[in-house]
Amino acid sequence: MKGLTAILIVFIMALSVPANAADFPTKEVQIIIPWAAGGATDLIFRAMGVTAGKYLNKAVVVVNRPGGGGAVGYTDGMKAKPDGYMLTAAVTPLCILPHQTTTAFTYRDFEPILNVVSDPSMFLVRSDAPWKDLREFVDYAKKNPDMITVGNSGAGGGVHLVALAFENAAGIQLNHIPFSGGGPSVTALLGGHVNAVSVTPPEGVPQIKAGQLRVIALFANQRLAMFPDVPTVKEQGLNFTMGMWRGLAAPKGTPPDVIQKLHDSFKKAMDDPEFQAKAKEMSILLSYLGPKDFGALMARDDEFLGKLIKGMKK
Amino acid sequence: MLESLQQLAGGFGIATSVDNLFYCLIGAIVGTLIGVLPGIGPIAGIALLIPATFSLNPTSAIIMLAGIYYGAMYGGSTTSILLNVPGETASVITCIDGYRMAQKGRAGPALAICAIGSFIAGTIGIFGLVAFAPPLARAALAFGPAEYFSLMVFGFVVLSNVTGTSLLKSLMMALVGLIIGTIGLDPVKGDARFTFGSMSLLSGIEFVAVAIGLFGIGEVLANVEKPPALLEGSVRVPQLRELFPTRQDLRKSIKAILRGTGIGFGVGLVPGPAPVIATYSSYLIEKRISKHPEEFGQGAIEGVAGPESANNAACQSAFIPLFVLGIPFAPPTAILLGALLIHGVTPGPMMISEHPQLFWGVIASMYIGNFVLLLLNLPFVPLFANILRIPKRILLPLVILFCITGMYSVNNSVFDIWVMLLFGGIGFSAGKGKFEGAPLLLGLVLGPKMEVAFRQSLMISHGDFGIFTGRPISLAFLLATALFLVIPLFRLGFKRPRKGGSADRR
Amino acid sequence: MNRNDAFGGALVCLFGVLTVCLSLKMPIGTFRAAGPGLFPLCLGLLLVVLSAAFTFTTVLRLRRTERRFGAASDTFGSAKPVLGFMAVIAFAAGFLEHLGYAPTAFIVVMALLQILGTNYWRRNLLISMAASAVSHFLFVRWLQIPFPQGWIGL
Repeated sequence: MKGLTAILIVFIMALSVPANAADFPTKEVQIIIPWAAGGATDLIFRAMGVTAGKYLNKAVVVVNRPGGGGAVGYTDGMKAKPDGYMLTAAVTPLCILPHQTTTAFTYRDFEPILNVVSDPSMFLVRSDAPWKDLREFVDYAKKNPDMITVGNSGAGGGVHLVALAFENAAGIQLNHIPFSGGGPSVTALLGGHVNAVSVTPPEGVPQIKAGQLRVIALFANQRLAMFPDVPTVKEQGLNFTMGMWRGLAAPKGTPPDVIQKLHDSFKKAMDDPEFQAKAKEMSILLSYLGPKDFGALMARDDEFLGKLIKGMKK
Repeated sequence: MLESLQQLAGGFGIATSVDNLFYCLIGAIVGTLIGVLPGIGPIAGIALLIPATFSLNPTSAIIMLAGIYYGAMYGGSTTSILLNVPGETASVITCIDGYRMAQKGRAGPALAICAIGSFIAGTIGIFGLVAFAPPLARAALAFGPAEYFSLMVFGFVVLSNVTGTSLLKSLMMALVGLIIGTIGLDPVKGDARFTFGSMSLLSGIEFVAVAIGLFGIGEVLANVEKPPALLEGSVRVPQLRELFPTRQDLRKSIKAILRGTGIGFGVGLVPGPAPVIATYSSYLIEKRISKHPEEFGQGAIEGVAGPESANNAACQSAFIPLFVLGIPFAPPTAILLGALLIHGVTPGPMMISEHPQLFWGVIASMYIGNFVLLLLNLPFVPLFANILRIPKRILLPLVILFCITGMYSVNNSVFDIWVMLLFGGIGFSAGKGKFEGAPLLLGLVLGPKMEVAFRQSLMISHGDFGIFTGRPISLAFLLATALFLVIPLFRLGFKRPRKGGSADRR
Repeated sequence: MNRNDAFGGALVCLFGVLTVCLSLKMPIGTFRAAGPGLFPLCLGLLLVVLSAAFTFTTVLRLRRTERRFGAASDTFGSAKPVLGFMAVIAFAAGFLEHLGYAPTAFIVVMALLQILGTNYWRRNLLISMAASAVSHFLFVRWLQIPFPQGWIGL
């Protein structure tokens, strides 16, 4: 019932008041999600927005600006007034898109606020797959180059790049099959139309729990709480980790004290037990980074992904 | 089966608690309203309300969100019938005969039969869901890229001539749709195609913009072209006793509803654009087996009853892959998946055993929701039908405002309004040459999926076309398509082709 | 009617040719690893063949009937209100982000009503104000669709 009245609350549309950190925010804060409603990023920030609103004392509204694989939303986010009222969800594609097509933005056009989530990436196979562990998988791939089909959620998308980078690291050659999203790729794996898929949780998690699929390679820094028996790739002697991040950024030129205020409020929201519980239910891995560290992470991944994409285009 | 029924009974116990009935009702009402507005489809509607469900328990939350989903499906047909504005893929076909019926003063029966057909389809769908869910969902896994491609080819060739005018003309329009569908990012490699450097074109042409343009705006333009005198009184205002279907209407519709339910339920299990394929197939079949096919396109009630039921049944069966496999085959169920995750329920193979209360509660609430929707919608019929009493010189400007508003809300993008305007102009001129919009929309929906499946198949097979003919399901679809194309050629040799049922939809 | 068919067929054919030309500019690749241009190219070629066949047969049939009955003339209505309506939609697309939702809605409805009949401008004014107010409350306030706010913040 409480939620229901929340929708019916009529917004008071105040004329915009110049940003002043002392009394920031004076109106609702919007977060641009550069994808359609219902995706992982959308869900995370919708859940977080509710909690963060408590600490900001103003509502946090999610605005979906889908298009161009995220390019439309990031362009809008970059162009927004740097007053802290229009934030953008900074997700790995922010460092992928500029390398793929000509975009108006790069990660440098945004001020990092904080990182919220880091998704470990992994390869899944069917439980009846012939490979017992990573070694057998890699050995088979070495003997039969280009024969193992690996589904991903879209060409040039995050998990595709993970698969490409893993290929380089392990010295193997795979046959990459792009699907339109993580769901379809997992379906194709269940139906036996591809040999493996590259995903990030929660994709595939229920099927793993049901024993239909298993993790053959986990590219995280440490084991996952939900699958403590699954060793990481690193543990198995292959020095390779790669993940996706989802954080929050403001347009370049936002006053530092406003950034600080936003950071503090969203950090509190992240630590709030209510949001923590939601995150656990959605099986997302929270991973806090402050503005400075998040910026460094973006810079590092931008360089790494840029090289990877250049290699792919050849 | 017996055990399932027992648990279903338990589910009814959960769903009929006062709280859950209340949320079911709220969901159904909000869904109907959202469905009536073009643009704001079930996807946006559910997404908008997800935060509002945070404080609810998971069962109530999903009951409410599922209510929005099928409520929106009910509401979607309203604007198609009254204003020729299809708000989503599923209601394109409803425009063809529904709008004609409304023009003849039979908006009431058209609206009522939608509600009745959807209710019957929903009811049968629930039992299908309970009885056959697990085996059917597993069967759907047999569809890989190759099967999928062949299914698309089959759908493309067989369904493009949905109104039965000229196969060649329809195929041409469908091809134009396919080509328009290639605009944007290459779905496999991610290169930009036909975007001419425009950022907005990167994500492709929005389906709703084309649909509202071709049908809604095109129709308004065709109306204002008429001399002002004709503008008044071109719609026969319905009398009160004409608001509900006659006995004859019901007799005509019931078989169409049952067939539509069967088609929709089957098609909904297959990943892909189920609403489109289900509604187009149902319309085509009704027309083919009808004793008076010439009525189709002129306001045949079967042409509304069949597709509407098919659509609703497809919505029901779309829950099967979501609940059983944990995989959403359709965008609205993808949003529901997200909502379930937020509430700590991971749909999938384990869902029925891990959350039996939720599963059976939601199933039961779907049934109750359908009943609520029927009760809710029938009284609305006279109200909606009376919209047509507004003089056209006042109604038409409001329709335009309605289209602009709905269009903007889909992606919050002004660009979509331009696209809508462009296709309004195209729809207006195409109507003069009796070129149809429906095949173009079919092509637009199927195009990207067809291309992806085609290229995936060839990537898997390393370029070997044998992947399409070497697999039984795929081969069957291809053979059926070939037969469909060849048979008319033979017939041509014996007799002159029957005059097409002149489906003038303007 | 057939005349329109022939004209439409030719237009569609032209669209097909355009598609073929544009897709040839993109990498075609092979069937094993298709480039972005391959699929549109196939579609374009198919469309050109179909529409050319269609146009050709229509023109042939047209000649035959015209010899018998003489050219048929189509009745076209007045183009003015059609163009007017399209211009108003274009206006909405162009100015929505600057004017904001409610003012744009008001102008759109008012202009369209005026196009259909100037006699009742007072009634028209009333309807447009009501329409923009109702839709503002429904869409902006209640459904919270993030419409642009424009200069006066509505």
